Amino acid sequence: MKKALIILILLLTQSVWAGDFSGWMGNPIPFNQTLAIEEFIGGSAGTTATIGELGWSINSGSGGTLTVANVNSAANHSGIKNGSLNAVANGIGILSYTTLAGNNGTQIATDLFDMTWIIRPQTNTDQDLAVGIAIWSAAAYPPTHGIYFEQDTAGANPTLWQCVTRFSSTSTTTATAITVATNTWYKLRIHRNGVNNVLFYIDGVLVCTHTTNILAPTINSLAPATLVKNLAALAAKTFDLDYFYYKVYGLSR
Amino acid sequence: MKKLFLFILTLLTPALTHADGFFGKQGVSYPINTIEILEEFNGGNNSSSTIGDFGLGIAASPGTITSSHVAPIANHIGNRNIQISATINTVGTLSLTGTFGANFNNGGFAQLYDQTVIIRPQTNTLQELRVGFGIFGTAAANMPPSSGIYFEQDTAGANPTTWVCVTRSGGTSTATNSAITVSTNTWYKFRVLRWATANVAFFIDGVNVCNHTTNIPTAYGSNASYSSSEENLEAAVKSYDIDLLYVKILNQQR
Repeated sequence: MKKALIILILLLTQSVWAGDFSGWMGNPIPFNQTLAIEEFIGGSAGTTATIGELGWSINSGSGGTLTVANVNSAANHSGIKNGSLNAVANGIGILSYTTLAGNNGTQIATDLFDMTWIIRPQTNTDQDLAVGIAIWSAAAYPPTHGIYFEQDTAGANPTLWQCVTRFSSTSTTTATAITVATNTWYKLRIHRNGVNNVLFYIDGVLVCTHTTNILAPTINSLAPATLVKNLAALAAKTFDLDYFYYKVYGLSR
Repeated sequence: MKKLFLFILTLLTPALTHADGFFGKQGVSYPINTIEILEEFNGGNNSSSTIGDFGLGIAASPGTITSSHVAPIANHIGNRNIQISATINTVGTLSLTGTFGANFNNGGFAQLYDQTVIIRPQTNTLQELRVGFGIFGTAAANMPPSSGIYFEQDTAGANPTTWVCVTRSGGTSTATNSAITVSTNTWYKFRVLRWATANVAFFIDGVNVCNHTTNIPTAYGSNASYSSSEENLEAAVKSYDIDLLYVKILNQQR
């Protein structure tokens, strides 16, 4: 009983300090991970670098123009932004966590990460829709390097979500059995839990495990983003985003 | 002994029962009396009020200050370079307050807080570089600030090549040499822990290097913010990289 009491007092003491300073002298907060959560409630909808709480950026190219607007909240989805790409064939629009340029990456190639997006496609025809992390370009799709979910209506599985790991323009692609339906929420999770192991989940269910064509060293400017490419000039392509969670872990700093 | 055990268990129970889907147990409010901000310098852009996830601000005089992305490297992802132009005696400040000149919060200097900043100096000669909390303005008269709690390199000071811990109130300083050399292209993790009104602990890379009990400011004034500020003492650009800014402020009565 006496030992239990001592343990309990120790636990209580830790709890008190954790509630105050999240650490104590000699025990600084372990900054061994980065954590970003975006609810798409705050910020300015239409202006690059100010979108959402984290200051997301709009990137347009190949004749396309992406615009971002607020959308009314829905039950269980508070705070929604809509990305809409105009009706120009081969136009590309990217909504990215960081501005897209050579030095603007949010992690290096070998970092482990856990990422979740909650997305609601509003279109599902004549488009490429990609959600994940890559070296994105508004001039071309697919990216040279990346880890992402994809719908490619011109591909082998035009109506399904696919899991993609891609390195130096070579892909490992696995079709899930999950259809890309419009106006339907999907919770897409990518967990790279090993340098050569990536797990893909849709709505909490493990749908793919990849061990090949995973990002290797020297690829250091990766950014999380949602990309849409219009494969026909018939109509705009749009999607809604409700949530983004991104943890990079295993850092030493 | 058994009664004492049960008594402590009763005290401990509210702290352990927050897993009910809410942040607090029924009847126990979420502690919004704490501010906690973690800036990783991933999002946003590089103009003032858009820097990083939280829209940090930059300002300088008489020269200019610029922010630019720095490529991520192992263990330091999401970085910005902050550079002041080559006009001698330019003071440039990066501030958590997006619009420079605004108070961070009322009662700023009276608050207990825990601040960590991870920076990498790119220059270490003929400059003053300060990292912490204070009234950091944009004129030479603001260097050093009239009040603040910060790490400092002052190449014109008594310890020109090392980091110095400073508490400063009303223009009077307590300064302690940390003995840690300011090297270029080297990451430093600074932590300032004001754990009591009259007690400040300074850490560099997890090591407690100074403890101050004097000249700790208690009044607040304009331009007080969690900031880093640099002045060039020659006509050359000066810069540093910043990877992280963390601030936790206690005892917000709200």
